[in-house]
Amino acid sequence: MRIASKYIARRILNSIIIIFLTLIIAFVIPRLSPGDPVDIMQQTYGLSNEEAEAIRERLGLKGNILEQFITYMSYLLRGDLGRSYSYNMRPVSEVILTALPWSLFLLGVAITIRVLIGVLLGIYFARKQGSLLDTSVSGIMSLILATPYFLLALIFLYVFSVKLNLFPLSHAYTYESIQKGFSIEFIIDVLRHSALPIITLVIIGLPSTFYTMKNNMILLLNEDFVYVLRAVGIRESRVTRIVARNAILPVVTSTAISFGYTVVGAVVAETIFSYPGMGYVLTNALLNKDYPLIQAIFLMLSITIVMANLIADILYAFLDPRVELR
Amino acid sequence: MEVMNPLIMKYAYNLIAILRRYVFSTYKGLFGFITILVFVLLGLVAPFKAPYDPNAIVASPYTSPSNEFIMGTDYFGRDIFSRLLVGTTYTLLVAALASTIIVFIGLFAGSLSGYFGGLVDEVFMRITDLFMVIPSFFILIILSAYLPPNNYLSAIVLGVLAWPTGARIIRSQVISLKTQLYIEAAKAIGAGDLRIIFRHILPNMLPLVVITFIQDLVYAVHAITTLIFLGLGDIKQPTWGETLYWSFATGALYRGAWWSLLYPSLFIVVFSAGLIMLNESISTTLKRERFGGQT
Repeated sequence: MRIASKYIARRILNSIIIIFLTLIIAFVIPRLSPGDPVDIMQQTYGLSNEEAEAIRERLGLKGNILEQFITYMSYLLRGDLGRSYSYNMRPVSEVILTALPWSLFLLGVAITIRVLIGVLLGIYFARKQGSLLDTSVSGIMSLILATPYFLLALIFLYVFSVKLNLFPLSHAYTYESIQKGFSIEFIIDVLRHSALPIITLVIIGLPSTFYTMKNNMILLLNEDFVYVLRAVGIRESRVTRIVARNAILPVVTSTAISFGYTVVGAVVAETIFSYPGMGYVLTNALLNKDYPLIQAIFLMLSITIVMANLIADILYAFLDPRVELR
Repeated sequence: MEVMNPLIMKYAYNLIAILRRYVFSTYKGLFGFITILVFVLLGLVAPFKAPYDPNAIVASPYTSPSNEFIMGTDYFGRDIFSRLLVGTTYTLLVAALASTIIVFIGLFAGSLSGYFGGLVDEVFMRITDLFMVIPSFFILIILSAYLPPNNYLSAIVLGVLAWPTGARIIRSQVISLKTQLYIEAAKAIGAGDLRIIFRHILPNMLPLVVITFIQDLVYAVHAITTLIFLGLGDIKQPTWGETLYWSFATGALYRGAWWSLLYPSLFIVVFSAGLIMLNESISTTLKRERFGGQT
């Protein structure tokens, strides 16, 4: 297989630039607010002046902006993200590592299901364009687009958890009754807890995948090669399969671009469903003004998003042989 | 009878002609237009005509809807209908502010980078790369911990962060317009760059700008409402998100106070749906005109 090495090298360079810009944003943000965060902490936690000075030293808020940046980078490169105030002064990296798997689980499952359903629906309705069912599906998609994610999650929580009592209200698993580990009971329990966040994340992301797939299918179905395929007598189901395989490429790109929005969706989902992932931790950190934790999660999630995009780009290079031409 | 100012008449006729062509030509457009008109009117009269003072405690907490309080009362016993009406004014103003900033910066940056290319374009593309990947709303959430909770401030921050997506679209449109014959003709008779951009390129971008503006309105309403709902925005000023925040935070879900969740949700969804339908109407008409006949 030919690998578009030049293309991939450029993508990697691009990602490095973006990560560097994110580092700068994470560095600049705390310094934008009037007064420094330590002042606010001093009021909130009632610290003495010496303690405040010590924290300032520790957070790298001393000296001029260049010195501060060097301190910040040196902490970061050592993997030292500071300690979290709202989580009993535990190291930030530890808090993040316990939360990250839950978020990755939600995101991974939700995106996989969303792409599967979106692609299948897109293929189906590209052939049924203009039918009554197609019009009503488009109407539903518009309605989904008109609903902010948190509202959808709220409606599902109300209907399926409060009213119908089908799913648990919060958390990732039942804390008291079940032993953690790879037992069937535990897995079922985890799935039941994650069902609503995943279903809502799938629904909210569906329109973009659906429309990308459907519009691209329609475009390709009008191409000359489809005419030729039909003319030589290839069965319609096989024609659809060939066209679909080509139409799926932009879905990879659109999923990658919308990945950041899916992460934001997960932040909201985890907050509403009290699911112990990064988003839940982030909202708590924001409400408690836990600055080291906020900065670390911002960096973590940004780097995750950039990496996901890079992987999608590289995947694209493998899937589409024409990419080398660019 | 006195004759109206002919210039105003001309603009009014133009406006009606444009509306008939792009908006009234489809059911979706008509419906969207009426919806938005209703919301704008509500937003205009709300500060004077709300049935109760939105901040006054007028009944016991979570009184269910009745003739007296048509949408019931909230946790504090304030009239939800009045709060949502006044909230309409705030929400519209905040969304319009954010969208205007997004469109202005987007137009400026997009047309400069598309027209001049070279280093300007390279820098522009790198900056937009960043914001295409990291959603502006994510940065807004992070910033909320450092900035005072204020709706207008949130709108300005969102505007300053969210312009790159629209700017990219405008940039590619400028690039394709740049090579058109009439631009070359303008250059040949000695028109300067600025004149070409403002006189010849920007007027042709109008439909695109309107579509971007409407999209941004939906985005801004959703983003700022979500921010408030998470408790990270202004939770004092009456807005649609504020009512939802307090209802959720005070357990309306479990108390059966459905009205305090349903009505603000309806305001958000109906308003957004109106904007989306308006946009779909404009873009299908544009497509039909461009490709002739087929939709």
